[in-house]
Amino acid sequence: MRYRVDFIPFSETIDLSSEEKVSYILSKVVRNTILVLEDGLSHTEEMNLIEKTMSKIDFDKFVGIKLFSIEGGDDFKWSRLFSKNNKTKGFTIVAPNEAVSVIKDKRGILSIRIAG
Amino acid sequence: MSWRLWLKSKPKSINLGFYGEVNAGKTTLANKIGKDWADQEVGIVSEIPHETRTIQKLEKVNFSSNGTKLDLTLIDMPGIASSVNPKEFMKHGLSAGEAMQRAKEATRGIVEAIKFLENVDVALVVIDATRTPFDQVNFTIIGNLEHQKKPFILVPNKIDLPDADIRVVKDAFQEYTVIPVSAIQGDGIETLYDTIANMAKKVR
Repeated sequence: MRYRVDFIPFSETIDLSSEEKVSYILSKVVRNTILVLEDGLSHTEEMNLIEKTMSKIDFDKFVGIKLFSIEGGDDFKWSRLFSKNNKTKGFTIVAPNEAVSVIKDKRGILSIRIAG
Repeated sequence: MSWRLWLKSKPKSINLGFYGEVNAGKTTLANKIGKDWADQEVGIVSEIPHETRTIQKLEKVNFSSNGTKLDLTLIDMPGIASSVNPKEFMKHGLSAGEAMQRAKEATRGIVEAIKFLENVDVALVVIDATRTPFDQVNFTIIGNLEHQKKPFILVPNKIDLPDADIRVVKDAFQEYTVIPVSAIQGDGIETLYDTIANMAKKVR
């Protein structure tokens, strides 16, 4: 399986409502795209994404997602790479479940292993 | 006795919800509390993921700790997960048909657990202390409880196992109330009961 990684800038999702953002993410992830969203998801949006994901699972081609959010002010400062003024609440990675293994270890290192 | 005094002496009714990842030990903990205070279990425990696929309730649990009496309803939730793969169940010996049925029920259970969050008064967020606590599901659950202003206790479970690392969990969730337990052995359970009683005071 081949996966594509899309880095989604703030400008792409800023005008979307929470519902629209979740729909936008799912529409891409079910088509084997790994998303790195500069405009990270709030925890409420994450829960909404999990809930909506359940209705998209077909147990054949799509069995769900992996997601990981790096919060602003966390020990991670990578969000600064995406936003010079660091106004975002952090960034979120959403991927097809089978595409990646996401591990944050005790030292705070985020490892993403992409299947292929 | 006046009705005001009667009302004051009446145990407060609390919906105690058990949230967390799949196979964190939510049902084992709910059973421990159920057996201690009502001599009844809440649900069936299994090593196969998603054993709890519908919300399980045990009502009229007369709980008392540190002088606080509560009328608890224990609400054991299906584990929250962002994926459900039938192949995982087949690794535990289920047939393809059984695995598919379990997977379908599990997806419905996850949605049910999410929707029920608003009905919970106090939540126990159960974390498997033998696994890394950094699964996003834990943060998502905690974030939503905070958003809804629900009192909650983080409960690293399975501390009797050699792989358990309580320090990692405490470091990851420094700003929260963390009470490590072994639901099977009963370690830490009295401290958890005291904390539940204190948390219940925050519920109006």
